[in-house]
Parts: sequence; C-alpha cells; structure tokens
Amino acid sequence: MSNFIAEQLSEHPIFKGLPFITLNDMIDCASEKIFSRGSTIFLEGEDANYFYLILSGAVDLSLHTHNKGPIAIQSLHNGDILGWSWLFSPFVWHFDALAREKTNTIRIDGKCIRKLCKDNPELGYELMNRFSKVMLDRLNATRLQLVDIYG
Amino acid sequence: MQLGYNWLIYMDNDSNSIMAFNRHSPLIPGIFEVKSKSKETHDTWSIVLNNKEPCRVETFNPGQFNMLYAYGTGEIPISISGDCSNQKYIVHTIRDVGKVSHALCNLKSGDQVGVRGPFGTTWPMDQLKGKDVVIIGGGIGLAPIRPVIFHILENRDDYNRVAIAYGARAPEEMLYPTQIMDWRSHLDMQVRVTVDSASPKWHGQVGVVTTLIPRLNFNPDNTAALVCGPEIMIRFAVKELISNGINPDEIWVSMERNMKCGIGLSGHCQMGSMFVCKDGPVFNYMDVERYFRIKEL
Ligand SMILES: Cc1cc2nc3c(=O)[nH]c(=O)nc-3n(C[C@H](O)[C@H](O)[C@H](O)COP(=O)(O)OP(=O)(O)OC[C@H]3O[C@@H](n4cnc5c(N)ncnc54)[C@H](O)[C@@H]3O)c2cc1C
Ligand code: FES
Repeated sequence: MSNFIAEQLSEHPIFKGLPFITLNDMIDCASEKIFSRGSTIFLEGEDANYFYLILSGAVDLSLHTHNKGPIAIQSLHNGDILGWSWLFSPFVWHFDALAREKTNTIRIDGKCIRKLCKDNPELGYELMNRFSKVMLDRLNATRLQLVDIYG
Repeated sequence: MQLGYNWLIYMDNDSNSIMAFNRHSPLIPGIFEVKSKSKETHDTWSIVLNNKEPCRVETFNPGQFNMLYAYGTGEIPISISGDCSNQKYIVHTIRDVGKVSHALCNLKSGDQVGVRGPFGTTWPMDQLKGKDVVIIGGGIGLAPIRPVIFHILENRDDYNRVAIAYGARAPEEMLYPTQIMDWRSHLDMQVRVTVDSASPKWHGQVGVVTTLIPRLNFNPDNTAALVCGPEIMIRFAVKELISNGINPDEIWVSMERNMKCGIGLSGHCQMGSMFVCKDGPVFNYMDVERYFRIKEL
C-alpha cells in the first residue's frame, strides 16, 4: 500500500473525512498514473472503468464533430476529478479526455469502488452525495457556457 | 442667431423649438479626429482619438466613458479603454452590434467624430491600494477595465497581489491577445484566460470565466474585486467571488444601460433611484446588488 496514495486520497475533498477503514479499502482500488503531454486518457464510447484525481497538469475534455474536428469544451486541473461515467450504467465515456500537459493522477478503479459501495450502502450514499456536488458545479458551469454569457 | 463664439444654436425640427447651448456644455460634442484604428476581432475595433479642440480636454480616469457621436447616425456611450496616464489621446474599443457602433467601427483615420465626456464614476484605484486585486472581464468587458491594468502596472508598488481572469467565447474573439501575453510575462501578476470552446490549436483553458476564480491566488480577507462584462456574467462572477470568501462590499462592477444625455438629465439610464451615467457606470456591488435580482429593469 502506498503512503503517497493514502495521503492523496485522505486529503482530497471527495474522500476527506471518510472513516480510516473505508479509506484503507479504497487505497486497494487506486494506483498512480502519469499521462504524457498530448496523450489520450480515454475516448468517447470506451468502457468507463476508472476515474482520476488530477494531482498536477491539465486535461481537456473534448467532443469530436464532423465539420470542425475535436472541440475542447472543458479543462480540468489539479484537484479536479476526471470522470463519473463509471458511476452510471452503461459505464461508457461520453467525451474524449486528452492530457494537455504532462498530467499526474491517481487512477481509481470504478468497479472496485462500486463493489465497496454495494457492500457498504452508507459509503455508497456518502460518495453519491459528494459526486453529485461535483456534478452540480460542472452542470452549472456548462449551463453558463450554453447561455453565452459574454454576448 | 448670433450669441457669440461660445454659444451654439440648435433648432429642433419636430418641435420647432430653439435651444442655445454653451460651447463648453456637456451636451455639445467636441470634435475629435481618428488618429489610428486597429482591428481587435472580426467585429471589434479600437480607435485612437485626437482632440481637435484643446480647450475641451478634460482628465479622464479608468472606468469612465464618452458619448461618441457618429455624424449623421447617432450617439452611444463607449468606455475609455486606453492608458489614462496618456491624456493626449483617447482610446476606445467598440464592438459592432448595431447602427451607431457599426458607423463608429467604419471610421477611417482622419475622419471626425463627436465626443462628449468623460462621464461617470471611476474604478476605485485609491481604495484598492495595499490590497490584493482581482480583475474579472468577459467579452468586450475587458475594454472598460483595461485602464485599471495599465494603472496598476504603472503604480505596481501600490497594490498587493494582482490577478486577472478573462473569458471569451472563442480564442479568435479575445481582445488584446498580444497585450495579454505581455501581462502574462510579468512575474508579479497572475493572468488567466479561458474560452467557451476551442479547436486543438488552442492550448489554453476551456470553460466559463467563473471556473477560473477558485484558481486565483488571493487572500480573501484583503482582496478587492472589479468585474466588467455583460450583466449575466457579472452576476455569476460575483457569486463565485463571494463563495471564495471576498467581502461583497469589496466588489465593484461596471453596469450598462441605454443612454441619451450621459449627465443625469434624461432619465434614460435610470436604475431604481440611480442614474447609471452619473452614479455609475462603476458601482460598489452592495449599491446595485438588488437590481441583479429584478427582472426587466
Ligand atoms: C457606460 C457604458 C459603456 C459602454 N462601453 C462600451 C465599450 O467600451 N465598447 C462597446 O463596444 N460597447 C460599449 N457599450 C455598449 C454600447 O453603448 C452599445 O453597444 C451601443 O449603445 C449599441 O448601439 P448601436 O446603435 O450600435 O446598436 P443598437 O442598434 O442600439 O442595438 C443593436 C443591438 O445591440 C444590442 N445592444 C444595444 N446596447 C447594448 C449593450 N449595451 N450591450 C449589449 N448589447 C447591446 C441591442 O439589443 C440590439 O440587439 C457601453 C455601454 C455603456 C452604457
Ligand atoms: S443618460 Fe440621461 S440620465 Fe443617464
């Protein structure tokens, strides 16, 4: 078990304050993963088996369009969480994710976390709550992008 | 009718009324010449104006605006976007959105333009001294706030940490890209830019301007924030600033309303009990907070 991973998980807002024993189980679902600049983290339509805590670097979420090619729609940075499609059936990615810079992450196995949540509904509820907050913030930001607030 | 050099006579065709104005009246435009013009984006131009009547030069400060009169077309309020320490020329950045702004954007070097002003309140440069300063601009809203950045750069020691966050629809719609690069090269200034969407050629941030705020480095207990852009952007930027710990009465915003006289006479720009032309356009957020919650004001 890596002390580094344990430290990162226990300090990250999405996991902060969870019981020690639960965090310990989660550490077994996590590994360090580094993406070089320009590399693909995942592609639209692929199985969404993981999510990532971004420790440093920058990731662009983008959509491929027929007439304009890839269009970046959101950037994520250190402290951000990348991916929640692992939470919901059919567990596939809806966007492409590309490392804009060299990006250090903690990669967390979604299946492994889903199993922990199934075995421990209290944890499942707590994590759902926390992820919903992240999703709500992103949804609000996306709504503002749609409104064209610089009009 | 001859009333002497300092008087001008205006005859209103519709009402057959005759009005006499002093040449120095704020209702009479001074004649300025377009010294130069530069394209900022596909629909936005900056023009540099040279005063043809030196007696009409008044000092202008960051945040103020002029009423620009395109001869034969009409008059609109446009903020001063240049460096206010250079009082010889006035710089305006204009987005072509309609009749008058279109005429102004089509002026050529040497053309004349009528200018009344400067009008309105200024960004509170003195009150910002000793504080961290956060500047948020969106779209054309970088233009009215750019004089603040010039002022800070010229008086850098007066201010603590400085952070600029600017959002635009797309990379090609960003104002002053070269200047932004220059500001970025200042090691004592954080400059972050974001666009709503971009092709792979863009290597910067993508997302709405509010998402930049939590990433800026400031001490919320000693920070003042200045926000300029469309009202909807101001609303959400202010919300984010407050949720990041900035005191609402340390936030200033620049408001826009349709204008006519520019000096508090016509009532065109009324916002509750205030006139945007005279009591604004720069307001402390606490003075206008309630108007952000009222629809159709
Ligand atoms: C204090 C103040 C400072 C301003 N500073 C600047 C500036 O530095 N640069 C600049 O380009 N503009 C600025 N504006 C906005 C500018 O005055 C308007 O864009 C202009 O009045 C439009 O007139 P028009 O005849 O070109 O368009 P109109 O024919 O009157 O309108 C054409 C279209 O533009 C829209 N429109 C009109 N006014 C605005 C507005 N204020 N904001 C957004 N859309 C509008 C109308 O709804 C319409 O759809 C400022 C406004 C104020 C009140
Ligand atoms: S424009 Fe006439 S009162 Fe403000």
